[in-house]
Amino acid sequence: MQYVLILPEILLAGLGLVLLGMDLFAKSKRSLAVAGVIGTLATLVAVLANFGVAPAEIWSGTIRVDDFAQYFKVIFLVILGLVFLFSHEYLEKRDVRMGEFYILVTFATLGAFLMVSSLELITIYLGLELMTIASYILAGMLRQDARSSEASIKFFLMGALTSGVILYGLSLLLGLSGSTHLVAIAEALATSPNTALITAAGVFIIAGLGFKIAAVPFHMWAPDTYEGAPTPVSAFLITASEAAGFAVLLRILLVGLAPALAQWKMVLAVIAFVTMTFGNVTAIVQTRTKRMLAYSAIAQAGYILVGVAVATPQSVTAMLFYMLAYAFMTVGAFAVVIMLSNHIPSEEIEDFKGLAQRAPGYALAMTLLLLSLIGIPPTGGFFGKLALYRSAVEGGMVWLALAMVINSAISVPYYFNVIRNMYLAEEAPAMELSARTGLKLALGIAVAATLLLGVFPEPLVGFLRTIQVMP
Amino acid sequence: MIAVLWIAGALAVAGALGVVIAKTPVHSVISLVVNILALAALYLSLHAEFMALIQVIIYAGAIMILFLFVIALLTARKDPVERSEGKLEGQRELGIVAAVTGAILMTAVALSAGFGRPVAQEALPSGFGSPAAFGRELLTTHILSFELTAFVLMAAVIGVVVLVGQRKL
Repeated sequence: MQYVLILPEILLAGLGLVLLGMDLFAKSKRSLAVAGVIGTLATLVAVLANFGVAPAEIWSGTIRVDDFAQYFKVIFLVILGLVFLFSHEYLEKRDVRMGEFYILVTFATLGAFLMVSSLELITIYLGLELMTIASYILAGMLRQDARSSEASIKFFLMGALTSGVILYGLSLLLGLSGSTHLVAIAEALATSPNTALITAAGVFIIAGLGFKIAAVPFHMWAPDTYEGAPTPVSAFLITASEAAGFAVLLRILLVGLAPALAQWKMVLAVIAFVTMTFGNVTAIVQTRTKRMLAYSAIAQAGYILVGVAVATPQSVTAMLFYMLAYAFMTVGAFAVVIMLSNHIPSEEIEDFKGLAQRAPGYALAMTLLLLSLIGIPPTGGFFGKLALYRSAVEGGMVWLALAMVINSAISVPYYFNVIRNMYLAEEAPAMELSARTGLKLALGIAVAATLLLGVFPEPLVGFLRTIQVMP
Repeated sequence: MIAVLWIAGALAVAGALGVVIAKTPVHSVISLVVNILALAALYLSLHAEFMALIQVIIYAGAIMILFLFVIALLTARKDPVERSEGKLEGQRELGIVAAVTGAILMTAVALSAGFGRPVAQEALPSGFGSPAAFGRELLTTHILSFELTAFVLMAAVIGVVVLVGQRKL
């Protein structure tokens, strides 16, 4: 029974090892991507089979299997699957070591899995380390590109520092409670007289995880890393790595630090406000596609943080919904960016010029995904933002809801700049634009899911309402 | 016991500072050895004898020797001082201000929590800190973390191959 509960982790670890073996013998690296997709689907089946199982803690409480964890695992697997689908041509053109790329992405996802499926600090921390160490390497895989090395080294230095900061916070929690399990920690903190120490632990943990989700003022590494890293890696970091950070933040704040939660709500609300405003305002002046998307990712992290700051069951539901929609729309947009950069390596926003004439399908898909990022119906992004907005109003943070609306308005120019380039700008030199089946499939899935989440959100929302962060 | 804590703690901090401040890499490594030995003393004061032993043998012994070899190989023919002035204006001063502020705040927090006051000690389980107890915990309660560490190390090894290995595929 226990093994069924952690079958997803076992399958994913197995997939990593199989890829490692295949990399030695496979003549065509394409078979690795195919194996990756199959492994991801198998893991997805194992995760879906565990939905609705009564929450259980196994292996001395180091693994917790509940719907909250399963849902995040679905998000990670969606992203992993799409990355397997759309990366091949890009990696081939940029001369990236493909075997290692696929292996490390799988291991990073395994780390994310363990971050969400535990209430035990040691497991959470080791999962975080596995995910970030794999990510540092992934960010530096374009070895002929100095910006990729810069991305990697910046990410590594900041990441190592913040891992230390998080550890400091976690060790304070251990010292205060004598336990590494979040439920026991919450019990101990509820009666603890050491409020100053609890505050200190909270500061370290929020600052440390703030780095991981690229919240302002802990975002300094993010634009350079997201811009310099190989594009599929940027897509992975912006979605999967961030979602894992949010999951841990939710677990630690709503379970472990629950007795002290009230004092953090305003701090988190201010961080959310500053993050979305900074991200949106800075994104306006960017001329490079990936840098624009990097600042847009910071802004989106601000929107999602609203859900943490409000900290009501409604806001958590809204957050969970938005993170899935966000994964689809962001990875989809990156699929178009990858398609384009396979033909025009410069990755400037200007490259989108005349895309509507050259490749109307891609232009239409990109438009839809960008509309979703702005939050315009009928897309998943619209519904997610609406849910976040409503939860903020109902949670008594009307000013934050207003800030979200104003920020959505600020974000319109830079997203529309891309659309304008695609449809209105003078046509650039004619060029054959093609893509492999995998990328087309990934883009199709992303667009379909974004639309589906926007038109029929109710079944998913109904399910998400049943998800409990608290044990 | 409190004396051990103060002395070993001070040595650990001094060693850590030395790692950062030392002008030659060899001195940094030796400062790190001081830091590691001080930590081992702290483990001893917490009745974690096996941990202390491992700390000395593996870290101070094996890993630091390896560090020294690498440094000896890499800097054999170079002038040891390879230090340029920071490009950011006032970085060092700001760093010192931040460190001192942080230290003062953390001291205040620690004092408010009654640091140094004696507390009622729970009796340790028999055999605590022994290799047998250590091994049993590692391979039963913490088996998952143990295995997970293997994956972290494997990712790091792959990273070395990817980032430092030959450029051609």
